[in-house]
Amino acid sequence: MNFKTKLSNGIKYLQKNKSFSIGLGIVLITIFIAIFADSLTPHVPSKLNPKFKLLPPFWVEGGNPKYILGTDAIGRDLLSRLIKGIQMSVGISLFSVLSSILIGTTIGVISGLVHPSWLDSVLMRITDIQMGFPFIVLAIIILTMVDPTPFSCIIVLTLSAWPTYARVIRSSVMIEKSSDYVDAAKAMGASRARIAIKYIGRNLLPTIIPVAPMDIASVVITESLLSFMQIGIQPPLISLGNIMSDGRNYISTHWWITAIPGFVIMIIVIGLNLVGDTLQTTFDPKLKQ
Amino acid sequence: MEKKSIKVSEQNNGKDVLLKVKDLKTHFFLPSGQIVKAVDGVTFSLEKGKVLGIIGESGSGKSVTSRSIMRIVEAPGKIINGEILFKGENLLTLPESEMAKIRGRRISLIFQDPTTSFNPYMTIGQQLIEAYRVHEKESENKIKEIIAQVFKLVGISDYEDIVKRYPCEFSAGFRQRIFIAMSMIFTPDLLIADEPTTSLGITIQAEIIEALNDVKERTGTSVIIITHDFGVVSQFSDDIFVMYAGRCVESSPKKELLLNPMHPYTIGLIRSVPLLEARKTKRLKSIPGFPPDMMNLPIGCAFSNRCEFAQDICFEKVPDLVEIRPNRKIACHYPQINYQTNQDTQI
Repeated sequence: MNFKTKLSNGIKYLQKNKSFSIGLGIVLITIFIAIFADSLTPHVPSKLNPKFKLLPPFWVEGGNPKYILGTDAIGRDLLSRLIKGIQMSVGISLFSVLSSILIGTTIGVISGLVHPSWLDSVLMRITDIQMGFPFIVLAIIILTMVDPTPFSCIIVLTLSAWPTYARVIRSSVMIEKSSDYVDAAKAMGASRARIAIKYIGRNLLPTIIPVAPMDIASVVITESLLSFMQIGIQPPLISLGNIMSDGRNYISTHWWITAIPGFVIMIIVIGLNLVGDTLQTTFDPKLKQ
Repeated sequence: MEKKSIKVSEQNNGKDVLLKVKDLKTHFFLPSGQIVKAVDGVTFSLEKGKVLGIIGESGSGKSVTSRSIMRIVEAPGKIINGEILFKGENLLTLPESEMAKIRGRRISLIFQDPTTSFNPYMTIGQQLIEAYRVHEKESENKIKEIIAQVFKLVGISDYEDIVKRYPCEFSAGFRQRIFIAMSMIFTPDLLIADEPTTSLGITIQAEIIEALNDVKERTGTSVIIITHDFGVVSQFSDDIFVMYAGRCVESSPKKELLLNPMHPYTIGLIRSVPLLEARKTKRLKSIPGFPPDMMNLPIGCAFSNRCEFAQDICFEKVPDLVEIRPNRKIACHYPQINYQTNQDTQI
């Protein structure tokens, strides 16, 4: 298959799967914004401009076309802040999900492979403790004890997300381990390492990959929550939750400061979920048409 | 590859013996301290190109026997005694790395349920290629030629389309056919089919047995077929080996066993086979009682408390497997030498 037919096949696929195309479009735009945030901002996001305080978006009466989405209480351009906020929020979510996948998978695989043993029990009890601890309390404790930098936010978010991965991965390793086809592979003469990589490892991907985008989506929300509570990302750094919390005092009169970042979060979450949905059906041959 | 020094060609009545199992014991050591003697002293041999049918109820140790031959018995289970001579080599003393070379290559195992024995996330082609690459590195095109050959062997002609598909796209019977093809990829000397038709419909069963028969005829592979269905062994086997509670109770050539079963258990089994053409009013006879609790076997013959011919000695002493006629071995204190099955059963 040459490149051209591959491309036309891909386009056909996208035309057929509308929801996936929409989701993919949103995700790609978000990634693009996150990468090139610095050159996309029309204004310096932290620059105050007392002359244009609390400007509404340009389509509302009194708006200024120079500030497309208006300004906040101290006259900072909302669009520029939004772009930087997307960069921060998406970056943090991506890193926390990646690190929780890494930790969760490692613990889950070890636990599942050694299943009936003391090591499995120890790892699973740790996971249980982690899962049983209320997340908000944990976040408040950690983020008030250490400086709430982006790095510490990533750690807190990772702590909240890895146990789910560990649990899910452990159970799928246990299912794979006792499955007939692993048995059949043994009877075919495959070594333990080969079975672990080629069969069990391979079959874990359909469990992990579709969940990851959806998990990023939920972490985006959690991160915004932390920032909205002002225990997450601290000014002068900007995140989506941060912008929303800036607008908290003006929500009844100047709704756009809070509503627009909220809307952006919603769009990103929908996009990631659409992509995750399609990945799930693609990776599971039983759901394929 | 094989070391010639160990290779002793075993002769038995001038015929080539491929597999000889002597006093095999596989026990399961449960965490509670109890021991399940799943296979307890099984002895049989299989000639080259022949088919051996192992028959018995669930839990009689048939599958564990086959897994012991492959040496893939799972954790609390352990082969504690015996010899498995395959082409003169004792498989039980081989190092694991050598054993891995035999699995799938010299001895293949076909599983009971074809709906679960394939990896659902790999296409058929990927799995067959993987089955080949476990043992040998070879280019994909070369392997595809071999795949086309083994598919032809089991009566599948349009392989190009099939290899691109996932297992879930095929019916159970067809998957079992593909699985047979997969296990024949190295044309092994011995094919062990562990209840290959149990999960299939009755018409498909016949097709699968036919496919196995074709494979055997065309390649000269010996087959051990494990089943609880007399219909399967009666169609397709040379010798029959009846297992009960981890032991062999009767072993004999097929025809003699079916016409003149001697062990009360075998008689009971044959009497309980339903027949379409049997006389109307005849009721099927079942064997009274239940298979014994494997953790708690009776002291004497394991079958004693279900046996209609049992005498005092049956409850005290385990009968040995003795050869009462050439090729006919039986483990019973009171073998029913003169029992004849009804002619209208015509198995």
